[in-house]
Amino acid sequence: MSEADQRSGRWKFQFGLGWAAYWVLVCGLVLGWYRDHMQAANDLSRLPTEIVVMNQQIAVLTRQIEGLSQGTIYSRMSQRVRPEHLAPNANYKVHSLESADQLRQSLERIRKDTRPLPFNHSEVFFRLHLFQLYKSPEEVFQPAVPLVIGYLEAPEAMVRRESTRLLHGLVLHRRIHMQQHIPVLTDALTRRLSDPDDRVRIEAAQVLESIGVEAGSAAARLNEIAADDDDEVAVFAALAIDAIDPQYHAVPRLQELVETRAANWEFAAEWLPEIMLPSDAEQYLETQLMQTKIPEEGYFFARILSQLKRRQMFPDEKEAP
Amino acid sequence: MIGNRYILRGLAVVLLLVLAIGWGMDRIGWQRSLGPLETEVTAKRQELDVLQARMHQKETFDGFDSVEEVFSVIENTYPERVFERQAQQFDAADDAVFHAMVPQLIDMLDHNDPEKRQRAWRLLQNARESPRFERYEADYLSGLAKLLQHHSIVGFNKLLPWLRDEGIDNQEILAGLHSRMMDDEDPFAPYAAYVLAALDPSVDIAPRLEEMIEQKHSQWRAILHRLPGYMPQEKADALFEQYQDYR
Repeated sequence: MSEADQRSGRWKFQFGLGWAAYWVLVCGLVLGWYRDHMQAANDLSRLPTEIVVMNQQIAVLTRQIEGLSQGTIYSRMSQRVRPEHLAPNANYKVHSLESADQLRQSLERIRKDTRPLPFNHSEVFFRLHLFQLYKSPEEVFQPAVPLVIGYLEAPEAMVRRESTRLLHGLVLHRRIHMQQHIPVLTDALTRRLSDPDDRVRIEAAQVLESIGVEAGSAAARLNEIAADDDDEVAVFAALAIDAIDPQYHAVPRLQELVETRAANWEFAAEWLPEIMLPSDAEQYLETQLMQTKIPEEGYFFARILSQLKRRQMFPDEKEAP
Repeated sequence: MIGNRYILRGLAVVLLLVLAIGWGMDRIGWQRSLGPLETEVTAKRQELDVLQARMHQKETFDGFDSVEEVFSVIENTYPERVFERQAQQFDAADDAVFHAMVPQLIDMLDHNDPEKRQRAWRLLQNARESPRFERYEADYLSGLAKLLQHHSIVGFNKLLPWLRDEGIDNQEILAGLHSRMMDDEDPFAPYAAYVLAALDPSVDIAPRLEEMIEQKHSQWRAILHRLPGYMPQEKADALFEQYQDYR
């Protein structure tokens, strides 16, 4: 305190080191309190949600373990073709194919079988004969591929479906040998996107996805389909564009399909964890579970969520056969 | 002047105290609200983890590939329906697993944990379906004798009729049945008595049946209907008359 102040008898506040430390302490306390308060408020709103989500998962898992009904919304994952499902398994003995003409004759014989089910096994026979192409030598393979591409225009849905399926397998397992056929195949598959049979359309979209950037000419038609909420194939079209066009991301469109409960939204919901970061997928599914007012939908989301968490808990172990 | 300084310092201390007390009270309030929720979340997480592990085991189970897997199924597979389904595949286990496990399962029939005894017995029941089990038949009977010395398992409802139908009058087995018959707390005591009487006609089980009726054994009403098979008709009728309206 200055002598002048002492003489005048007035005390004047002086901001020294002690006061500075004091105010730092006060600020620390206020900030600590605020942080603690916000954390607790956040926990208080988060924990009840977490409990609801866990209750749903517990109910789902209990039913699954007991082998009881899985609800009325069924899995549509079987629509998704996986590479290992396309090639013949190890138990299948592939017969040697001598020429493309031999294959054509066998397939034509099968097509002529018009017996009704259950006596007609033409679908299985057709598939088994096509399997011969997986291991056929180059000189038989090359002339046989245009023959199979030609079958994509066949009047029978079974023939178109099985041919699309085989071509998908060949694109995945004999890509180098298929290279010269890609432009013709892409055009043929683009036409199949308008097939009257939805299963053929779904298969065609997935083959185009497997072809990737080289199927660029199909992008316009795929975009039309992907934008249509009422089209069962929209989700597969979005995935195909994602593979063809590096600028396009399928996740937002799939989320949109789920949120609007558009056609085939169930598959979109099941496929999202495959193409999103696990933490993002978890958060998204939890939000959907909390938002839905329909118990069956909540059960369905809880099922996908518990499957995702199980995959995180046991990452390296084999899935059920 | 000096007073001002003290007032200001006093106010500074009061402010600090207000902040500290306020924070503390706020924290106590939150903890009261959050405590039960956190406890519930922890319990649910644990339950969920157990269920996820069970579901994973169910999804990935494709037969008994190793000894460890047999032990794991015995210890971790629930509910019972899932265990039963998996146990049915034991007779198809590889030779190495089958022959390593059967003696251990027979030993497990003498285990202190009734659930382990029950599960070992169920696996052995399935193992008996395989011709590979023949060499273990004698050991299996010794194991069953030990099993009969312990408190009953649910599987006795099938084991006891099997012993009777097969006519197994091994002394150890008969001693085990006698021990089960004499256990007042055992719901299978009357059934053990009937099987004992069938296997060894020299044993008179009538006094024990009467005793169980008098003691109001959990199965005493059922025993009343079986009495004529083990005592004179008049005596059985008299006991039936005496106890039929008893509540």
